[in-house]
Order: sequence, then structure tokens, then C-alpha cells
Amino acid sequence: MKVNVKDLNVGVWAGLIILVFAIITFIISFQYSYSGIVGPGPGFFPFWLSLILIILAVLYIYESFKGKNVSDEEWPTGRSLKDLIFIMITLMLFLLLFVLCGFLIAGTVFLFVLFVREFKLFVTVSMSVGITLFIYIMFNNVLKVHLPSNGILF
Amino acid sequence: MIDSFLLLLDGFATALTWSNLLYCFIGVMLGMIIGVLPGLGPVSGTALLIPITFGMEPVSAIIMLSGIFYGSMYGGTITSVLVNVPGEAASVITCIDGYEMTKKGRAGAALGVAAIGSFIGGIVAVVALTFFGPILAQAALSFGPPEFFAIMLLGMLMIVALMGKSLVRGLIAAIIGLILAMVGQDLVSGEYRFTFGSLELMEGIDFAVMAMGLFGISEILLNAEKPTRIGQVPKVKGLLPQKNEWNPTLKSVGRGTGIGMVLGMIPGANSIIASTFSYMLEKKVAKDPSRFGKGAIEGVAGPETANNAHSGAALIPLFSLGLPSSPTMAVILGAFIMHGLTPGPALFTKNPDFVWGLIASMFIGNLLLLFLNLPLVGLWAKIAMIPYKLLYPIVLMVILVGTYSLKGSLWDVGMMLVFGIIGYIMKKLDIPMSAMIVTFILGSQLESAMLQSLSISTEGFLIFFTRPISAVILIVAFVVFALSIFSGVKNKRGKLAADVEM
Repeated sequence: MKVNVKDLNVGVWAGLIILVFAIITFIISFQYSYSGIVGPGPGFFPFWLSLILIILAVLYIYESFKGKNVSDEEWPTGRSLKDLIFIMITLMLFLLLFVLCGFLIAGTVFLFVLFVREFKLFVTVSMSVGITLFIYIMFNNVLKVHLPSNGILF
Repeated sequence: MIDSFLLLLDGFATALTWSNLLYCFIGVMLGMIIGVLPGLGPVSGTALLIPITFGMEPVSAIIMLSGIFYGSMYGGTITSVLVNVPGEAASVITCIDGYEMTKKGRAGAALGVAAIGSFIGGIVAVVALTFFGPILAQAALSFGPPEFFAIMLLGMLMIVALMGKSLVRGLIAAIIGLILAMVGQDLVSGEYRFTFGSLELMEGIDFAVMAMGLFGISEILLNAEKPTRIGQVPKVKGLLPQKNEWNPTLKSVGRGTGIGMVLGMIPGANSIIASTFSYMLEKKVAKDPSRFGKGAIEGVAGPETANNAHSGAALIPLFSLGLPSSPTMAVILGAFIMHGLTPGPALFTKNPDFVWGLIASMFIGNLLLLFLNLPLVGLWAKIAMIPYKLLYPIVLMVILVGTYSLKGSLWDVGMMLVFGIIGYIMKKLDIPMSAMIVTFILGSQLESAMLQSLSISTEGFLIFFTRPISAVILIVAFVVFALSIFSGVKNKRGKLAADVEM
């Protein structure tokens, strides 16, 4: 099975990342006092938790070596991968635009980018603007959550 | 008892005024909308809306806030069932079988059963509050930190034991959840942990941020790989389960009510534990457990009822002891104080009009929810029929805005996106996200319960075993854990756990 070898490595890599995370957490936990005034202190839980995690991570890596962690899901390639990255980049674009220009512009551009490949241009534009405005009004006026209509740039 | 009944009638007189009815209605509707919108759950939704109540009378204000509270419990169910995104913590369990039912075209039945179950659970809970509030609060007084710790540990171990094919992976998720719960200020010592000098991290990671990322964003990223996915949900016809399903469903509702109510009254046991226990029980008691995870109606009826029964019952310790048993309760407690009322035993004697007016309005609220939802379920279901390519950008935007609305912080949004990617990867690796989020929420409570126990203990860790109740619970927990390891080693886990993965 050609999937098998790939999954094996992925499991090991993931396990390694978790192990590194656990070790870092373990080291940081020493900064906090293990005992408090009456009983354990803030360092107690982090210490033990990260220790357990280290053990679990090692177990996980071991299991992955043995091929136990073959998951049903496959990793995306080709077209699917491109779609995935596309959405992720669009999400970050939204964040960026939000900071620079406020919600209205960010929202409209965000929706536009996601709709434009699927719908006709006119439909895309009107939906992007319409939905953004609707959400803006809902949150700003009805729910009283302030959505900035302008950002750093203007 | 007769006294309580008469006082309750007085309460109805207060609750049935036009203005209070209106506030109840608005509260319930707002609650449903909040529940359906991702990013806003009962906690944040309720907190967000407290300022609106500033100008109102205390009774009306709390009536509206309670309406929002249990309304959002139901709204969260709708998104769980229809699009597999839990609107709030306890709906996580409903996603499992509810979404499967939707995939099979039975969304209507799932939602209908959830509505009926929620109504029954809610009403029974309020009745309990009415008659047994004072009495039952007395029994819960014997629970101290060791018992809270024990039962939270049991709940967590059970989740790990049941979810996912691998104990190691489940435990990894659980421990990571606990570690993430440590980020921020430790309430016991006041020390800031894992904050790396960041102001935002000092406040800790918001559960809603994690949930939205882990479940909302990751789900959409997962679906991005299947561009030709048919998002078509067949018409929602028939809100009611089939004839042969009525019996098991009602039994699940009955069991769920019991579980929810018992757990609701134990401060510290939150609604996730209630719905999880209910799900577990349903699976155990079912004649054909392999149906669970593939659209078993009891898997929706039981947990949903438990959820609502729990919310209703959780008000018992709040009213009688002034003790919030969950973050939502804490928010409501804050609202009480803001309006000049102190919950506790004195509340029943000093402000009887208020208490009974509120309790009466909860009967009304539950009834309103039932009548609003059953006919409108078709409307909610139609949302699921909107083509996916149109729906997902809107859902994304609502998630983004909803997360932003928590604290007006883009940092939260960024963090949520990070969790989205983490959730995606976890799904690919088959590491259970449910375990992580449950332990995350329970994390700080678990730690403080343990620390409190150890600080009152004269025998160190033995306190958990010298106290009878906590000892029993812990023994059960260890047995569950041991069975888990045993079945893992013997590779029998596949049969038990395969379907419960989200």
C-alpha cells in the first residue's frame, strides 16, 4: 500500500513535534514553583502533565514506527492541496485587510475572492457587498458589537 | 411543598405580565440566534447582552438573560446537527450522531427529537428546582474539592476511553488540552504561566476561540479537499421519529433527564459531562451499539435532554447556594449582583417575588422554545440545503466576526485560525479533538480542585481515598482506565470506539 509508508513518517514527525512541545513545556514548568504555601504550587500541574506527555509522545513515535498509526484520512495533494492553501491564504488576507482597512473592505474582498471562481461576476460582487453589509449591520447595530469600518490606512 | 406551589402561582402572576413575556420571548429568540451563530455561545452571548439589561428591572433582566441562556443551548444543537459545528460546548456530543442523521436525510427527526427532549428535560429540571431546590442543595454540600476532582477525572478518562481508536492518541489530546488550560493566570497563586510576556496570553486562551478554530475552521478546511461535495440535504420532512423509534427515544429522554439533573446539581460537573455520560449510557444500554456514531437517534435524544436538564438543574446550586457550577452560571451570577441581588438561601426568603417570577418564566421560556422550534425547524433545515460553495464563505465570515466579537481582538481571530490548522492536522492524524477541548475546559477546574484538596488534606494524596465518595469515584475511574489499556493492548478497541470519532 503506497499510503502506508507516507503515514508512517507523518506519524513519527507528528510525534516528534509533540515530543518537542512536551519537552519545552517541561523545561518552562521549572520556572514556576513546585510547592505553594499550602500544598502544590503553580509548577506542579505543568511539571507532571508535560512529563506524562513526554512519555506519551515517545509511545506515539514508537507506535508510528510499528505502523500502528495509519489513519483513514489521506493527506491532500494536487488540486485539493491548492484549494486548501487558497482558503488559508484568503483567511490571512482577511486579517491583514481588517487591520489595514477595517471590516467592510476586508469582508467584501474576502467574500469576493472566495466566490469569484464559482459565480458570475455580477452575482459575486453583489453578494460580497450585500452579505458584508448585512453582517455589519447585524453585529454593529443589533448585537452592538463594534466592527471597525476603517483601519490603519484610512 | 404546598407552599412552594402557591409561591409558584404567585410567580406566574409576575411572569405573565406583557412586558416580562416580551423579555422572555426576546431572550429566547436572541438565545437561539446566538446558538446558531458560531463564535457566539451561551457564555459569550449572555455576557455580551448583559449591558442591554442595565436599564431594566432586575426580574425582567434576569428573565431575559435566562431566556438567552437556554435558548442558545438549543440553537447550538441546530448547527451541530445540520453542519457538524457545535454552537457551544455541550453540543459537541450531539454532533456525533446528529450530523450523521442529517447526512442520512433525517435532520428533521434529529432536530425534532432534540427539541422535544430539550423541552421535557428543561421542564422537569425547572419542576425540580421548584420543589427540591432547597432540599437537594443540602446534599450537594457534602461534596468538597476531592469529590469534584474525582468526578472530573472520571469524566475525562471516560471520554478518552470512548473516543478514538487509540488510547495513546486520546491521552495525548487530553494532556495537550490540560496544558493549554494552564496558559494564563493561575487563580490559586496569581502567577502567570506560559504567557511569554504577551498581554493577550495573560488572559488565557478563550474556549470559544479554540472551539471555533478546532471545529469550525478545520471542518471547512477539510471540506476544501472535496470540491464536488454534494451539500444537498434532502427535504426535512417529518419532525418526529418513526413509530418504532418513539419508545427508545423516550426512554433515552428519561435517562438523559435523570443524568442531566443529577449532574447539574453537582457544582463543577458541567454540561459536557452530562451529555457525555448520557451518550455513554445510551450506547451501553442500546440493543445495537454499533449504530452509534452512524446516526442513532438515542445518541441525540439522550445527550440533548441531559444538556437541558443539566442547565436547568445547574440553577439549583446557583439559587440556593450562590455557587456557579459553570462559566455560564458565573456570568448569570454576575448579572444578579449587578442588579443588586445576592443569590443564596436568603434569596428565597428575602426576594420571593423575584425567585418565583423567574422560575415561572422558565416554564414559559421552555414552552416558547418548543413552539418556536418545531414549526420553524424546516426553516433552520433549509439553511443546510444552501449550496456549500455559497455557504462556506459565509460561515467562515461569521466565524471570523463571531470570534472577533468575543473581545474585539484580532489576536483571538489569529489564534483561532492557528487552532483551525491544528484541528485539521489532528483530524488527519486521527487524534481526537473532543478529548482536547473537554480537558481544556475542565483543566483549570481540575487543577484548582486538586490543589484545594491537597491544601486541606493532612495526608497528602491519600485524601482522595480516605473520603468515601471520592474514593469510590476514583476507583471507578481507575477501572475504566485499566479496561481501556487492556482493550488497547488486546487490539479490541476498534469495535468499541471506531465510530465516536469526530
